[in-house]
Amino acid sequence: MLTILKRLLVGRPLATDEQEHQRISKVIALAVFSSDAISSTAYASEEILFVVALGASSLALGLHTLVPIACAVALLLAIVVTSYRQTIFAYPSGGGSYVVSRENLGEYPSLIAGASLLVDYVLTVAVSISAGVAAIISIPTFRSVADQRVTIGLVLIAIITVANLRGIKEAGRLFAVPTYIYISVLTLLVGLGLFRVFFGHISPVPFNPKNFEGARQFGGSLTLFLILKGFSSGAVALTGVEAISNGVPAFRRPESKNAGATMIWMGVILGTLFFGVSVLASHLKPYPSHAETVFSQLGRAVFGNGFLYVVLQFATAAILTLAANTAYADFPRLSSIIARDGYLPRQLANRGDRLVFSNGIIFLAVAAGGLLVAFGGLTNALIPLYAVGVFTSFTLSQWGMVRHHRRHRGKGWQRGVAINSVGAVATGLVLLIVAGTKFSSGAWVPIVIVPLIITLFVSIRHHYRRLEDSLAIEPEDVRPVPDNHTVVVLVGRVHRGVVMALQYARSLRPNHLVALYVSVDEEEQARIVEQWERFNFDVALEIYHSPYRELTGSVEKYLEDLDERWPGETVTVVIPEFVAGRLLSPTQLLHNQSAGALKLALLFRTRTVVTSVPYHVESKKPGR
Amino acid sequence: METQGADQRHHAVTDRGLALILISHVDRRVLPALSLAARLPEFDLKAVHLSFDPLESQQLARDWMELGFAWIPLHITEPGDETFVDSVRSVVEEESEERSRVLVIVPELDLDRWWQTLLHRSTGRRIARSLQALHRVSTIVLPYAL
Repeated sequence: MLTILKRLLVGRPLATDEQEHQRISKVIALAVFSSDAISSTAYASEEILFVVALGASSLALGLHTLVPIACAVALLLAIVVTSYRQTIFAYPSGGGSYVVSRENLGEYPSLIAGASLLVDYVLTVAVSISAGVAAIISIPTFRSVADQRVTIGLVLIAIITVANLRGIKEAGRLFAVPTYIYISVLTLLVGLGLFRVFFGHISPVPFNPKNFEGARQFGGSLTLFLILKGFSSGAVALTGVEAISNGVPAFRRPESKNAGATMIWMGVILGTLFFGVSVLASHLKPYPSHAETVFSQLGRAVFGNGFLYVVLQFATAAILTLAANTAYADFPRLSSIIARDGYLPRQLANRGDRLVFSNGIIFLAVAAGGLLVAFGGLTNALIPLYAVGVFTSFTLSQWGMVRHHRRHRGKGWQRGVAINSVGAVATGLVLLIVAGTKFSSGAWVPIVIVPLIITLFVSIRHHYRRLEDSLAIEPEDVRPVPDNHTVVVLVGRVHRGVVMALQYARSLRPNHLVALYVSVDEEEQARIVEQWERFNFDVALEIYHSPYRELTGSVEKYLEDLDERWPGETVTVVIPEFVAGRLLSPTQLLHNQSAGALKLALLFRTRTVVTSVPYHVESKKPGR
Repeated sequence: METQGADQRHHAVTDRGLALILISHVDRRVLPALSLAARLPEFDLKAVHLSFDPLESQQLARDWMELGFAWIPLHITEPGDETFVDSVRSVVEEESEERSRVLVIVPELDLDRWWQTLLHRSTGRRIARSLQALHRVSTIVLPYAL
């Protein structure tokens, strides 16, 4: 039942050979790996306004700083994209900041990068989903479900989790459509909006003081601290930029070239749209509010309440929901790399049924769902937690790349050092600004959690190392291997002597034990077979047909066959022998004559031992 | 049942059983399994490793030879469209078709703390459950105490 349910939800399992076909084209990859970065255009400008307009309690003051802050963010984006292209070409096997830090900076910096990224992937899901829900409930028709935002968010997480468990390519195709619709409709919004601002007529967004939450009675002043804090909020537009460098192996060949080109497309699209939205907002004067997003206000101002507005809102909701896919693609991949290094449970290193790391996907969904519930599904409440991790990993990655260039000194290494040094300094500076300006409003959470995760990483690694040491075997620990040994018990009739011979043969603990009956008469053979089965001896009885009614030659030929079957083994032939009460009884003579001839013949055979197990007929006591 | 001899000159009445040892790592946890296998003269022996990583499997095969375990032939199998437990079942099913009985030996770590179960895949019991419906197949999960 569980298996059927799993198949329905997750689809049929994929063979390893199919992995190659799971690679994705640039067009699909742009949607899969860039939906996070590009979708942040839907809330980054709003988040700047939430800080600079609400903090200063003056919308006009806030709007005044929007474009300069957007310029700074766009410049930072250009620096980071240029820096990450270096990483893509230097590390075609992917892994992003974690791998770059591990190889160039050592264990602890890599663990800081890994832990920071894992935290940010969880936040990416939580933030994207909450912003997606905000886009839906901004539509006037859906305002009534505004208090259900957490439930709607959890449902969306569940849907996207199942989509990802079904495999990356199908998920990629599914996600490509809304991503491209979003890019198109947003381009239209910015293009048409700015055209009407500069060449036509457009009314600004009507101000609704009731919805302008947080507005105080008295105006505030726009300090440098607030501007930097606003910049920190705008910098969330950069989250997800590293996703492509993590996912290089998922691209079609040549992977690095395709990934590098996709990175540039993503940078251009993200930078242009984010800057365009910010310029448009500075003219249309939207206000930050939990009731209606800035994006929705801009949409209604440019498109009215018609079809295009609804498409904009649904496309925004869709891309934001699907943006979580970037994290779904990279979280399991990164956790599997970390797990392979022994810092996370080995279960996370496993490929799931459909070649995606299902354990990581499930963990991500649970953690993001928890955050969504804890913060009431409000994007604005989650944003301060965001970006600390991403800028930590950016800085470590760029610093690691500087070390990489200096160490390998490949073609154009000086240029690489210059690009990545600028990247490292810029992102390092932004990290300090983000941590400093947002510490009290939420940045402390990742600052506390990341070291805890690193402690967990180190403890897990310590456990595996200790285990590895205690389980390691040295050649001297291994008991002497039993000499390759086969025992053949010759059987003439089934009697007590045979039982004793079999017991003796077992005591030799051979690799192979067989009983051999040389058959000269079919009736006799049938009787032996019947007896053997009746006594239920736990040893295979093999029958050798002797066409010439001759024991020695038949046994020799059988042993030759055994040499082929189990080459290189020492063969012990065990012969149960009667020892009658009277010496030299006729029966004993007859038996011993055959046995004696056999012993003599086998004396000259290599790796062959012949032994007799005597059975004393009168005493009926076992003898040796 | 006829033994597949070179020229059919002889045949077996009761077929030899097969002891199949599942190998995931070459370390101390396999020692009890090898020790048990050495006491099963009535069984042909075969070690099976399901390979998910060719490099790891290569190292495993090297360790197997270097530690002198070659007296048990090691077979490395790449799993198909199945999960680990299902792949084991397929291997065992295939072997059991030609054998009168198959004894599957699964070395496993004996985990005594709850958190250890989070860090280790304990597939032994799952394998045993999956194989219990197969005819002529018995499974031994051999715990290795830490």
